Amino acid sequence: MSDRPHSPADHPEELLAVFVDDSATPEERDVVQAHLATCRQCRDEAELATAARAALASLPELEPPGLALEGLPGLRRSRLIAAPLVPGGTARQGEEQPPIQKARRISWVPVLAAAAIVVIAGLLTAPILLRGGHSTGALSKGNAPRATESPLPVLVDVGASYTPASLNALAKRVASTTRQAELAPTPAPGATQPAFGSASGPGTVASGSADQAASRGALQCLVAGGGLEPDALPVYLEEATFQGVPAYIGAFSRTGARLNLVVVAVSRTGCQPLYTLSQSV
Amino acid sequence: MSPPAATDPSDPDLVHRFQQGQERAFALLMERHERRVYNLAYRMLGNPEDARDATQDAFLACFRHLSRFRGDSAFSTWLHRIALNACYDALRKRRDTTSLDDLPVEPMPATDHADRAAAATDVQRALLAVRPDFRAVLVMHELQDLPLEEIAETLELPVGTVKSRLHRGRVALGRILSGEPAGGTSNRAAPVQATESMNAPRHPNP
Repeated sequence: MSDRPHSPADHPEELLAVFVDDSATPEERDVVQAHLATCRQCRDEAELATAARAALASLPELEPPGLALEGLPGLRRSRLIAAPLVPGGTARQGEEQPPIQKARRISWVPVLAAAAIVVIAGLLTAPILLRGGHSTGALSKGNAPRATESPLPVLVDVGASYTPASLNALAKRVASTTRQAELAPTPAPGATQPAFGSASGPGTVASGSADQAASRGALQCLVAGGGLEPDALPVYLEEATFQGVPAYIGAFSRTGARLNLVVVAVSRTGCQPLYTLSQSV
Repeated sequence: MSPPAATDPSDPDLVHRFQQGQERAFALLMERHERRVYNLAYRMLGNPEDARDATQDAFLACFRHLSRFRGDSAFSTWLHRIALNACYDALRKRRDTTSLDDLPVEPMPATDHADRAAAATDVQRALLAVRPDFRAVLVMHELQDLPLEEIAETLELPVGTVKSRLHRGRVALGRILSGEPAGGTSNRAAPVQATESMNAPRHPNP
């Protein structure tokens, strides 16, 4: 092999790319090999390119943050989108309709954190939501919580489809938010409520009567099917599917030696338990 | 991206449903494509916070323009273009405030072997030192297995240019990993060098 000088234009970069890829045609391969036989620079580059390729293969695929679970309410909350959201689309009753404003980041955590603050404040100041009853009897009509006693999270429906893995991701996010809320200074209960305004979405408080009825219905089903303990407080409610089954998803905080979170999925029909997991906060 | 199951609606179906007013279709598109967009953003930007922001920005832009998407290219190609624009925006903002060389690289998720995680961190750090326009091709081709023709369509460049960038990007990464000077591949040069791909429509043509 004898090297000879090449002008920069002579180096077949495009062919070297497919050569290293091992996707070159036989003709292309012949051209590259003939060039490599006389060009030390390209031999070095082919070696470097092969090493880089191998190194990149070591990079793992990463788990996404689960933005899809936040769905359209998260996008709406970014205030980039005016109603109607889609051609022919209509906003749901009671939903915030922000005007188009200057773009800002979707800020999901503060919203959930605020929700958790209210719930935790409610834990301290209001009658405990599920105290005094066990599972199915806890939320019978006679002792169902009133909104004035403890705020119910609004029932979210963004068409999400959960699997055990994505439910676990949801649990971690809610737990993280609850942890932040716990660490934050506890505001006066009355002071936190206006922060929600009329916004409707995950983690916000169901303020309208229709919202409350929907949330209460889901809550009853979750409590009935989930076998929750009496001191469980709902911090997040969602209507979704779980492994293809129409389901209610609920996240409940439990107080104890350590605060922890229970995430429950029950079928919407019959309130049968589908999945339960516990997440420490 | 998780390939849709046989019974799942296709991307064109979901786009059509969205354009007919079904909001849920967009949530399904997000769910289907979030992994790919986030991984692209992470490899381009190097840390989870920026990657999350860029992913959000990409989906917002997608949401705002999807009603006018005509399907001249595949939805995934169009979304990749939007996602890359979001990454370039983030890099442009970052360039104004800090040196890329100073940016911390987040530790990679723990694997079953600590050495492997450490090696991956080194590779990610080296990748961030490759020019962004080369890096984009490396990420899409080597990590996301996109064919060169699809990358060319995403970047609106001739396939030959994509091949050239792929080779130069590999060589640059190889040099960085071996401790050699990368030679003309620094991020300092990137804003000018990356002009071609950065000039992709800010809001890609539907």
